[in-house]
Amino acid sequence: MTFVDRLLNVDRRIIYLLVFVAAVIPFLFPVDIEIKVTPEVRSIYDFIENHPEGTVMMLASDYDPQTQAENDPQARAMMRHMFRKGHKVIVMALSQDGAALTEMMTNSVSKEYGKRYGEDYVYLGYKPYPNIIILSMGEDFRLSYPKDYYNTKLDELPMMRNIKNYDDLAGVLEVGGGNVSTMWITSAVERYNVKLAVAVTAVSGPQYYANLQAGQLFGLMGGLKGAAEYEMLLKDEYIRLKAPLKAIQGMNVQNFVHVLIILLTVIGNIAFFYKKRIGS
Amino acid sequence: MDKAQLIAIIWNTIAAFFTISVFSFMYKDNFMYKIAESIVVGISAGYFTVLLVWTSLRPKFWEPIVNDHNYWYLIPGLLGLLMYFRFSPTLGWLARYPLALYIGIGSGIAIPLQLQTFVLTQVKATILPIHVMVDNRINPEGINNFLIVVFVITALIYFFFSLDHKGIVGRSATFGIWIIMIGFGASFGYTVMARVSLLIGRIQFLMSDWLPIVK
Repeated sequence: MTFVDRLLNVDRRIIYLLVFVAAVIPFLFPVDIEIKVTPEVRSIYDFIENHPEGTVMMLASDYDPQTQAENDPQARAMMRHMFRKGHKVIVMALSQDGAALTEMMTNSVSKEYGKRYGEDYVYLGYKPYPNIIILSMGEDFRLSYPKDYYNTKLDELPMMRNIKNYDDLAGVLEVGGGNVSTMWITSAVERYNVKLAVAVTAVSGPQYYANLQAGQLFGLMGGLKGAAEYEMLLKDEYIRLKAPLKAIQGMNVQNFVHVLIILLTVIGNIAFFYKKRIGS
Repeated sequence: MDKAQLIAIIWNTIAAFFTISVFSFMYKDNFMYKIAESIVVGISAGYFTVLLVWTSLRPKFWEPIVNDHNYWYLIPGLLGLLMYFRFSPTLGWLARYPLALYIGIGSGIAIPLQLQTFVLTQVKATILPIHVMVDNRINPEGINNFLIVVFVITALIYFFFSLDHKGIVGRSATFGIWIIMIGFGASFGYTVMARVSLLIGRIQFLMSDWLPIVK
């Protein structure tokens, strides 16, 4: 077997090992990389930043453990920003496996800012059938959520007393890994003219650029890269809170792994065409 | 070491064990991977069942009937129960009634909204000015708009089979397929980034969350 044959038949486990090594190196030897902020991420930042203190916003945290690595840094970054600005936040979850994750995320970030439950934020929890829930909240939150996640009636929560439906919110920030983000566009934006921004996984990122261009979204955060951009915008705040810049650290790793993947693709193609040329 | 630290170590170690068990599949299928897989499936099913009872069945069915004596809720409850007749070879037809209602309502809600979101608004967003002037100067936004219009039309021509793909139609369709391929390439690039992100998430957990507390 020639060297080229060996290259073309390399054991996939060697590639896994190389990817693993490439992913671990930046943890041991961190490299400071520059992350440019795209306009679609900045517009989410500007939206939160430009509203006055006390504005009510919704964080629809519709992700689950499968996409936690990408969506959790996105949700935390926006939540920290909203709390820093003194906004009031309604948190909810439309992914069945994500209800507990969202609760953990909400509790951890609210603790950092000393926010009080029921006055500064509420957690509505999970309900099945996302499309129906999104539509019903356009009429009244109480139709789908008569009580919050902790079984307290919404009217007993001071923050919720004067909030009926989407008209009482400045906008919705949706964090999702699946088609729930699309449901928010169809059922909240098109039906109730809700101002919506989505933070989605990198896999689903490209499909939402059409919605962004059509004006159905005011902002878009795609994958870990989008989260890293938002962390760049809030870097001083993260340093003040001593919170880990997980997305920025993750992008460091992405760079190493991407270089490796490009190298492997180039080597594989050279070997393939070389073999084809010599005809054996 | 206090109790909270001890609990964190135990749970994080369990999580690390399962992470490594799942990763072991990359070497080859093995017993530890199968255990991890079965536990994920079992826990997910159990968790979802309990969640559904407490977030849906209890507040949306049981409480309105028992606490508020709102007996209208028995009708959707009964329709829900009819769904289970699918398991009966002789009474299976009863399940069609709730299904008909479900499909009818679902279609009624979804069709107009889908049409509005993915056809009408998107078509409207493609009708763009290609000559944009700002402060009496040509703005590059016009070039972007021109490219969007050209790319949309040529990509659509590729899927237009009522005319032979010859001459100007053929050349436009060829250009359209190139544009579609560029779109697929961008999507694939994002997919690679997403998959690597998942690996990063677990390595971050192992190296930043688990190892420091175990040390």
